[in-house]
Amino acid sequence: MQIDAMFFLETFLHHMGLWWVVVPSIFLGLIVGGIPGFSAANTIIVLLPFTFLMDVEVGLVFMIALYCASRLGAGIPAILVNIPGTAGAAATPLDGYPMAKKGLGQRALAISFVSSIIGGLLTTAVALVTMPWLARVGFYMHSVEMVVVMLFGISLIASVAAKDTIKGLIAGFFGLMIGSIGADHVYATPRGTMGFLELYDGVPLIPALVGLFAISEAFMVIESGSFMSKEKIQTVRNANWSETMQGVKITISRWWHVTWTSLIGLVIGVIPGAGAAIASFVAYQQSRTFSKTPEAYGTGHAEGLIAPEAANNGVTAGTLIPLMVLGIPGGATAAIMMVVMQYQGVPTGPRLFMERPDLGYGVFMAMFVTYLLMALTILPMSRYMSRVTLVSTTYMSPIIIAFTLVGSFVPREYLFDMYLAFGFGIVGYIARKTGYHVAAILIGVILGPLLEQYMLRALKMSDGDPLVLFSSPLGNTLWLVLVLTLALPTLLKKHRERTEARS
Amino acid sequence: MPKTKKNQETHNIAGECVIPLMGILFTVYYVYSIVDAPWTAQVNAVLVGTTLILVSTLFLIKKLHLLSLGTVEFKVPVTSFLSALKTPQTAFIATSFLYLIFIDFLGFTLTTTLFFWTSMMILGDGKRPYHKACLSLIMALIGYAVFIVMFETRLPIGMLEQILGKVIS
Repeated sequence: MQIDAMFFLETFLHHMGLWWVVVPSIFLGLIVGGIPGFSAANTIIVLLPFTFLMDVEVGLVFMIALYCASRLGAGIPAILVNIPGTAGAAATPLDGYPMAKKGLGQRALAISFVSSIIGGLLTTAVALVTMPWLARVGFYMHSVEMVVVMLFGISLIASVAAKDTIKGLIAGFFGLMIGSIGADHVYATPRGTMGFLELYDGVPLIPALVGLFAISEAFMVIESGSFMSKEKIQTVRNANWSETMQGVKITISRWWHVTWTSLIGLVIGVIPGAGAAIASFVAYQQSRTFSKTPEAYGTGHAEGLIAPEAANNGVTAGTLIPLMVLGIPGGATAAIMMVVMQYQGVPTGPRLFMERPDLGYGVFMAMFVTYLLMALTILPMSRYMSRVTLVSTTYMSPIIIAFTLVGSFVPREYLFDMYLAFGFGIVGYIARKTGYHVAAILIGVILGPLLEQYMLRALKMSDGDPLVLFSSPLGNTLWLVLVLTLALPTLLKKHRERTEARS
Repeated sequence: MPKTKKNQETHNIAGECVIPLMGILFTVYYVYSIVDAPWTAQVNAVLVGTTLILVSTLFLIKKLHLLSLGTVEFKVPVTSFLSALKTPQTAFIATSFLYLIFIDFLGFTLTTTLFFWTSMMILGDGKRPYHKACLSLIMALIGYAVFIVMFETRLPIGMLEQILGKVIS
């Protein structure tokens, strides 16, 4: 089979013909992505018997569409009611929710959708061309390099803490400390578990996410009786299609921003075990560093919403590259896809592109088609979705509490996790009432255990010598970039002040 | 003594000290839990825990300094705390906690219906009870359909789920 432009065109048209699988999967993906606790991976597991019955190509298209849509769906409740559907959308409410509170929920959704779609399309196209090279990124990223990547994400705490540094640092380190609960990674010694067996594997992410964001938010909003003020409610009521178009225009005018933040997602997605949460935190931190208006971040700034959304959709293509090229799944969904492919007798890795190039390239084409169809189906819905913010908190708060508590139960099916989510809700409520940023706590909870795991691995390999962290050329380059990105905002600010003073 | 405008504006720092104190207490407990553990289990507590205690202590010293200057005040607001206990917000938080306790005995659907109705009545000043009862039941049944039937989540089963299960089968 000849792999040329005609082959790609035929594959694209063939996958467009599978719209009847893609469109329902998109809507299912939006639902599972939007409910905390549910994810594309566990939905595909539930529906695995059906995928075994389907033709292998249809089954893969179904899984791909569900996977992409769930990434996009996780951002919807994050923007409208401050509840990230997955950890990958944890950076989305930093600027998405303040926009919704200003009565600009429809615009925020449009920005989120367009940046996700452009980010997804772009990274899929880049993945198609650069697959063989990108697949090798995983080989070069060892524990030392991963420590620096984690520090990129954790340094976001400093950005979040910009308004009150000491409080931000307390919140961030408190989160890191909570993230350290559980058995240690080498000898499995229980640490800080308070005797709860359920905490031996560490603090589960979904109860922390649900508690810190959703439950504390539900307790907060009942004080005001509404998600926004009366004037803002009127703004939402008066909004028309031009708001969606405004969101589209804002995103397209920042096409370069979408491009480079989605590429961050693609590269991080290729690294096994890294994932969308790290990608979105790193993209947000980098976006803020190189912005001319870093002070606007956290107040409902469009670029602060574009960065995490473009990055976490860039991860989708990245996660599939190791599976397709090397036969190594880059994440949970990719692992399930591998199971389906093996069950159907389809090879993974290099043999896939030799024996079944239609399927190998078809997976990425299905992703491309999914993002195109999402633009047609979901973008027009932003106007109606944004009306969620008009619902009275009398009805909304109990719904948030009940369904997010159930969401925290779903991943491990322990009632303990519901209590844990409630506990995090109380901590989040106290933090919000006393001026601490819950996002800083969450960054610590998500990235802390990963940082510790990679750091211990590196130290263990070097018999406890901390200089191992500066032993690899790639790691040292990353350290340099990290130091530069941390120092750059201050240097740029001083430079701007000097230029202004001269003029 | 009548309160002056300056006195009224004095910032109470009691609330702000809760998170740093929680952090310090938790770190002390964490360190206690790993005293005899190998170094691989301790390294994180040394790096993160020490920094948290250091930053929190700095914060508390800064606040103590402001307190000594009289620019802030430290007052545990017992009166406002007691009056806050009577607000719908506290009742809602308590109802949410009761939801967690009762879901294990009564099952997901019935507990969720009762939780929705009670919460909506508390937050909606007791208006339109029948309307809220219908809405609560519908929302709980949607939850049953999505979580238990569609995604086969093993949520606690009660009397209502058994009846619904028999009706469906």
